[in-house]
Amino acid sequence: MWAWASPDSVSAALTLAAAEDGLIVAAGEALAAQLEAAGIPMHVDARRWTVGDVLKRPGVLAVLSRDVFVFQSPAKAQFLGDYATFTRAASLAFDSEPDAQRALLASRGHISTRTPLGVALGWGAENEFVSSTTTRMQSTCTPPTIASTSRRSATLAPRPDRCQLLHRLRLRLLHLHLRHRLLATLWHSS
Amino acid sequence: MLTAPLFAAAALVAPAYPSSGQPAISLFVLSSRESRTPAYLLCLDSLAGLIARASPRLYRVADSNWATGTSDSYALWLRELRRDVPVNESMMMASVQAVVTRFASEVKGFILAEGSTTCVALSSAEQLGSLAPERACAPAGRRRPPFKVT
Repeated sequence: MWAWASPDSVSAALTLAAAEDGLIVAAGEALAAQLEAAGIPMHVDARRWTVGDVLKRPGVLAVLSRDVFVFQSPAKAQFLGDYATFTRAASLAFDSEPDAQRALLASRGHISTRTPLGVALGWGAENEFVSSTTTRMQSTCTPPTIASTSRRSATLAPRPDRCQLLHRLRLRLLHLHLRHRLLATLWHSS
Repeated sequence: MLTAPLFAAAALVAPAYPSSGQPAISLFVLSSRESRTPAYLLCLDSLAGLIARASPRLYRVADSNWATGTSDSYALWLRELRRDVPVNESMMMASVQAVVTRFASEVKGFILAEGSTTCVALSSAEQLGSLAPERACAPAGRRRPPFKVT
């Protein structure tokens, strides 16, 4: 097992990549050097950043998704890093930055959303304190699978589709109100 | 409780999940294991998510045995996908640099994050005396951890 020595920095980089256009994450100078050799310039050095620092940047909160939140330990970011970037979802371990987490969820209250349904995705230790509603979520999904959907009509997430993603990774749609009453925040903000 | 109307409403309202601008035309499949460090996987994932906003093109599997392996659920879905979407294996073992270069026109820069890692299995492995730390931390297929162990 391994862990990032500075998980906040990884979460910050993923969140900034989600908010911006055209940015990817390079953790460590060795990889950065490889990317620069490939002609990809460094946009910002976020090695000492937190998600809170990212949210202070002008316009970031307005760009990040108010519908999808990823509460994921950066050590398991490989399970959701692509999806967080794709959906423009902020990504941080649950409760790792309470102020930033509150600001993100409160954004649903003052910025218009596409849908009254907000979702939070996570994988791992979050199960210890958050009730899983995987079964219920799966019941709301009626997936025409990618395999049975016309290539020309299908639109795909980075991985097959949302239902398949949930099935495959056993992602949890989280009851946030059971702790910290966060679900109530989502519900009332609608 | 509160959740009942929430999930009932879910069936009636727009989904929270966004879609790609265009459906996948083909998918480059990448191996997670061979020569991949956590930093490489994170970089590739951020790239996959970025370019998927326009159209999904990168798909990660455990290893190059995706077509026949049974232990990797990612491979299972890819085998389903390939019925409709061509799967390109030319970048299966490609370096991160090569993969990023392939999509360089869609990447305008990178965010540098702190990249050092800690082997959290080290202490317990030492206590147990039965698991070499480098084996505990190394990704499958690697003999030694490619990252800093503190």
